[in-house]
Amino acid sequence: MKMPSFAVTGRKLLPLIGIIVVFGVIAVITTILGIPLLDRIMTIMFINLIMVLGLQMFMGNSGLLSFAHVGFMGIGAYASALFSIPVAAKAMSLPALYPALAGIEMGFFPAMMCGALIAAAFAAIVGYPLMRLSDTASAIASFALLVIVHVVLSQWSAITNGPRTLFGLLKYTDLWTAVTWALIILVVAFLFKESSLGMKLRASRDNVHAASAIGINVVRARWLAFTISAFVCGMSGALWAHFITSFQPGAFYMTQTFIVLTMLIVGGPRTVTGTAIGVLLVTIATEGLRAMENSFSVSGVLPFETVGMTEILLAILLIFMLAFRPGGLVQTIELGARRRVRAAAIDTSEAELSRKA
Amino acid sequence: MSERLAADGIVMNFAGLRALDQVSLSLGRHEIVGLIGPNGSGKTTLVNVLAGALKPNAGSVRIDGEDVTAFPPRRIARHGLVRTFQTVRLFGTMSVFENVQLGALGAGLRRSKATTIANELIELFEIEDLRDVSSDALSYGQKRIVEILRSLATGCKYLLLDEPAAGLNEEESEHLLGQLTSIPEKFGCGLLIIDHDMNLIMRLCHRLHVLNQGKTIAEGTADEIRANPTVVEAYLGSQATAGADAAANPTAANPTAANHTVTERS
Ligand SMILES: Nc1ncnc2c1ncn2[C@@H]1O[C@H](COP(=O)(O)OP(=O)(O)OP(=O)(O)O)[C@@H](O)[C@H]1O
Ligand SMILES: [Mg+2]
Repeated sequence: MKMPSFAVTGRKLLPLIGIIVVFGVIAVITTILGIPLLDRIMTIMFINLIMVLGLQMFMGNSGLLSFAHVGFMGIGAYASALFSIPVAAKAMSLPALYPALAGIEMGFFPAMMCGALIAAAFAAIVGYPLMRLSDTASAIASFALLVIVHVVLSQWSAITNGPRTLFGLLKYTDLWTAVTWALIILVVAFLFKESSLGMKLRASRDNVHAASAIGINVVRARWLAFTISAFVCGMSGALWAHFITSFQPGAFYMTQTFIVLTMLIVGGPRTVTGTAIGVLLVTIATEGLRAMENSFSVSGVLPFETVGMTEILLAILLIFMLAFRPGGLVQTIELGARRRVRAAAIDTSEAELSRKA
Repeated sequence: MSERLAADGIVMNFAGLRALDQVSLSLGRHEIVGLIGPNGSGKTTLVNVLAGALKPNAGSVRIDGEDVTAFPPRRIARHGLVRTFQTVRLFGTMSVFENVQLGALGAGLRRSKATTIANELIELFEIEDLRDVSSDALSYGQKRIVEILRSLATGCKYLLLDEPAAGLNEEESEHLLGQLTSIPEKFGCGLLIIDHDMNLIMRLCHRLHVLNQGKTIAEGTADEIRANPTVVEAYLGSQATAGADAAANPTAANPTAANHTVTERS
């Protein structure tokens, strides 16, 4: 009985190892090439990977749509900045900051953890009633939540500098900081999916009535996942903030939500490998299109303005995916685990056919 | 004996329709009880009430003496009452093994224990070759077995099966009969079985409960029910004789899943 269960574990780990190798190689090549623009694009891709994996942990496993998670990214960014901006710089960056907070100065890691914890705590509080709503209602409520977070970030000038740019952050994040955390979160998302909690969530996604009928507390499972995923999104926000070093609340709103959801939906929200591939492909598509957009608008070869072409084409890509492959590129079986499971299914149906014959 | 599932005076109204009218039913932990009746007589509705998916307009459901009428399905499952669905409901993206394992996880057991239980059940029901197959890829009969295993993995004390033999061929349903028979003694789990396959029901059940238009019209052993003129008129009809040696033609007693227009609410 020991052997087969070990074999299954090995087989399940294969896709994870594969995707880690792919992204590891991308990071190494980027480092070797040493092109600053590529370095920047890839760093942001790895940070987005963390963000999208955080979203996948909730959305992919529970099957509930969430627009709120970029809001958690924003909370992580602003909260970590609050803890990490040097005391000397705070007087300039946040002139109206409460005295109690003005004296705090932490290293990047504790600041990131505090930011992520605050995002998670916020998600835990607002998520509890949210998780009781039906599918459609919870999606709309999550959108409302994004709007609330955005308004608060834009208006709570004392700690966010309001709609103006917040500056004064130190640049802690470089390519390999992002890579390291992204690879760690890849493992976390994978283990989460295979954990008891992840399994219960996926059960509720596949059939909520059957899940309740065997005793699964669906609301609790969703709520825990919502909180944990907010933590991860908060981390991505902290990493992003300490890479960009000056930003506005608008960075965590519609545009980013659209990009993040496109990455998740194109790749396949129900699989970790699909999610990672979606991030990679949408990054390549976005950057490629943006380069084209820029060269078109500079050379003026097209008879119309090309500003915004990237977003339009990305939106069209999303519509095509939803129409023709709604589960994403990698649907329910992790990339690399596919053939074995399919083969097993065919084997048995053949065995059954021969038995019936 | 207090170790019983007991429904008392259940009334369930749907807009203008009394689907259950003063139905009382009890099930012990070592019993197999059949719940039969024509299409639309309220069998599935009764299961929905027992399992907490529907709240009755009157009456109570007790598990081992505790009133669980107001409990949600999840809590009722944790109290040891688990049901299957007339239209099989598996976790389609997951393997057979994971489906069964989830039964134990749903009951709050640890992962390692759940793994052991799932492996044991899969071995006991001799479906090792399906262990790692995605549950979507199964035949209808296989799906029904997996749903039963998933329920048993919860360690339930009372298991309600809504038409476990529907859609099964003769051979499969004979196989199922053998496996169901042993459940009470092997698992200490009472069975309430709904089915239109009178051959299966008559041979399997210790007692029968007959519903017609939401009312209990008879209770008793297979022989008593077959001899009951009200039941014969309302449901069994010419099948009464078929039921006696139904092995000859078990499908005759099965008004089949085709005319089940009722969409299950739970
Ligand atoms: N959610 C509901 N809303 C309204 N009416 C319902 C609902 N569920 C069941 N009914 C009605 O209640 C009656 C009993 O239905 P039920 O499904 O319990 O029958 P059944 O005995 O299980 O029949 P079958 O043998 O076809 O499965 C039917 O008339 C059905 O139309
Ligand atoms: Mg029914």
